[in-house]
Formats: sequence, structure tokens, C-alpha cells
Amino acid sequence: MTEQNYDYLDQQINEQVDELRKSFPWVSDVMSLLAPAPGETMIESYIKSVITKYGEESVDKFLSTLENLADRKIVSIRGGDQDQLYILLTSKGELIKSRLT
Amino acid sequence: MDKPPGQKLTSDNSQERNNARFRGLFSFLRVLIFIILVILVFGLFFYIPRALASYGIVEVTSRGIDLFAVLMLGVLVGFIELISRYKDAPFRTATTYPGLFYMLINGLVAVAALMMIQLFGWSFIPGDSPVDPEVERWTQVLIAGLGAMSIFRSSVLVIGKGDQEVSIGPSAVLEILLDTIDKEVDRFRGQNRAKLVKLLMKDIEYEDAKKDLPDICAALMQNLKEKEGEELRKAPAVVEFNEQKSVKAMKFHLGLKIIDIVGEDVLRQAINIMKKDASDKTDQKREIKPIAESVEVAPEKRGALLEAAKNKVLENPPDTK
Repeated sequence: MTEQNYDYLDQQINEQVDELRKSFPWVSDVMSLLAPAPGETMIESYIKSVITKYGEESVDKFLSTLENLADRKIVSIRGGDQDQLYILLTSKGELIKSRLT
Repeated sequence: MDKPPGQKLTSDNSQERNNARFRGLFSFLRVLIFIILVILVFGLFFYIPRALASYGIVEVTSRGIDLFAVLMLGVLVGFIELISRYKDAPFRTATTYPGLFYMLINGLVAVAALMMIQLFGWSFIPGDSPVDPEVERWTQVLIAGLGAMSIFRSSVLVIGKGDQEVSIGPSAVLEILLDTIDKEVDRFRGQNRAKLVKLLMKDIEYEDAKKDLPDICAALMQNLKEKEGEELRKAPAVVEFNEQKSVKAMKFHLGLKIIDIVGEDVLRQAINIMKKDASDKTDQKREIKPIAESVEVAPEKRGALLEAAKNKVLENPPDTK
């Protein structure tokens, strides 16, 4: 993946994260991250953010919330090259967002 | 050459709209024919005796009116029984041939009951004080019309041998007849339901249907009873009770369970919403090119990946001070 593509990907991810933060207030504090650091997956960045804000004991709760959202097809957890893991708001998530905002 | 997705969607929507128009027209015609039949039956009962009476062939008597009234009451009871039993498409079931025959049998049984009541001179008004004959007459009509089935379903004697029980009495004949018609109605509806559910469920995956369909259907219904809502939520668990069942069979079974509770139109609408959601996802994947290079993590692998991410972070946790 070229540097240009990586920047574009970051921008897309940030937009999605921003949407997710607006849509789901219960994870809004966690989603304060702007972009994952290079070589770090988005989920790792979120976990770090959770630990910083709430402590290690909240990580499992956060991950189960994320899995629950993925089970309900509100977000899509995707794997890319370079071991990256992305979170995308699906169209169903978009629909819920449009009702909430 | 394949059509562009947008064009295909438009074509599918247009076909769906045309199908909906035909369905609406067909339903309207069915109801219209049913109303015409009812008017004809009423007309025949009122007009023919009067016409015959005008030629001096018969007389319109109060007994004739009684028999007609009791027939209509019996038909009404049969109709209510049908709509309470076949909840997925009650009015459609009542207008099928077996359904109409079932109602007619109910009506004729009510007529037979009234004839018996009149023949034996049964009075349903307690006490020995004189009663208005009109009151007695209409009481008999009401009891025969509304209670005929209970009279004819009664048994004088039940003989049991082992696990089998044999009823002796009017119920023996009538119940065999009604059960046969009932099964015929059930089979008739079963054929239609099989075709319909197969057609509706073919475009969605079982996993998606299991997660979203009960919730969407429940949300579409405005007056869903608590018990029905509970049944709807438990439908996937009921369907999956037999672990040996194939995914195809489970999808079909789930469709049947849902259609029993919410009916055909709501299931169709819910599936349309799910199909639209799936097509939106396809569009989204097409638009975001870099992310389109990624693939969705399978649910069974998701937990392990998240756990790995957590362990990686915990190896070198951030400073919380």
C-alpha cells in the first residue's frame, strides 16, 4: 500500500469513526482518537484509548460492545493487508445514525 | 453483458411495483367476488321464495325466515372459526373453496339443529310462566345458530380401548367431515404458503434473516401482542431446535413461523427492507476504494482477532497517569 493510499484510507476511517462517535454516544468517549498510528491497527488504538480513559478493566466491555455492533451489522470489522483491522459503519449503521442525528 | 447494479435495482423495483399492483388488484377482485356471492346468497333466499310466492307455489313463512337467519349465523360462526385458526391470511382462507364449503357445512348444521329444536319443542327459557312466542322463537334461532356445533360435537358415549377412543353420537360423523374439510383448507393454504415463503426468502441469507427479520417484522407491526412479539423473538431458537436441520430448511421454517404471526404483506415488506440494505452495502463497498481492498472478518474469527489486539496492547500498555 502506497503512502498516498494510506493517507486516503486514514481519512476515510476517520470519517467513519466520526460518524460512529456521533451515532453511538455510549462509545463516544472511546472514539476520541483521530487516526491510528502507523503500524498500529485501529482496534489497538481504541483499546489504548479505553485503557487511558477508563482503565484495563473496561477493555473487555468495549470489545464486547464492538462485537455486538458487528453481530448486528451496524459496524463491519474488516481485515486488510499489513495486519490492519478497520471498523466501518455499515449502511444499517448509517440508517440508525440518520435516525439518531 | 451484465447490467450496471443501479439499472438492475431499478428494474427489480419496477417489477416489484408491478407485482404489488397485480396482487392488490387480485385481492380486490377476490373480495369483490366474495361480496357478490354473499349478495347472491341473500338475494336467492329473499327473492326466490318471494318470486315463487307470487306465483302461488310457496309461501314466505316465519319458519323460512328462521331457517335463513340460522343458516347465516352458522356461516358466520364457521367464518369466525376459520379466521381465528388461519391467522396468516384469514380472509383469503375464508374465500377458498374448502373454506366456503366449511362455512356452508357450519350453516347447514345450524339449520339441522334448529329443525331438531323445533321438532322436539325444546324451550330454553327457564320457568313455567308463559313467554312471548317471538322471544322463544328467536332464542331457539340464536341457540341453534351459535351453539349448533357444540350440540353436534357432543358424544353420547365414548368407548375406549387402549390408546384409542371412539365417540358414539352425532360428533362421530360431523367431526370426521369437519376434520376432512379443515385438513383440506390447511393443505390448500400450505401449498400457497410454501410457494410464497420459498419465493420471499430466496434472496436473503439465513444468518441475516435470523438476526434482523424478527426485529424488523416486530417494528413494522403496530398492534403486535406481547405473546406474539415473544413468539417472533423466539422463532429462530425454535427453528434451530433440531440441530440436524439444513440451513435451507431452517430458512424456510423461519419464514413460515414469521408469516404465521405477521402475515404475508409484513414479511414481504421486511424482506424488501433487508434486500435494500444489502444492495446499499454493495454500493458502499464500490465507492470506498481503499477499504474495498479489505475483507470482512468472519464472525468466528472476530473474537480471536480482537483478543489478539487486546493482548498486544496489554503487553505494552499506555501510560494512564
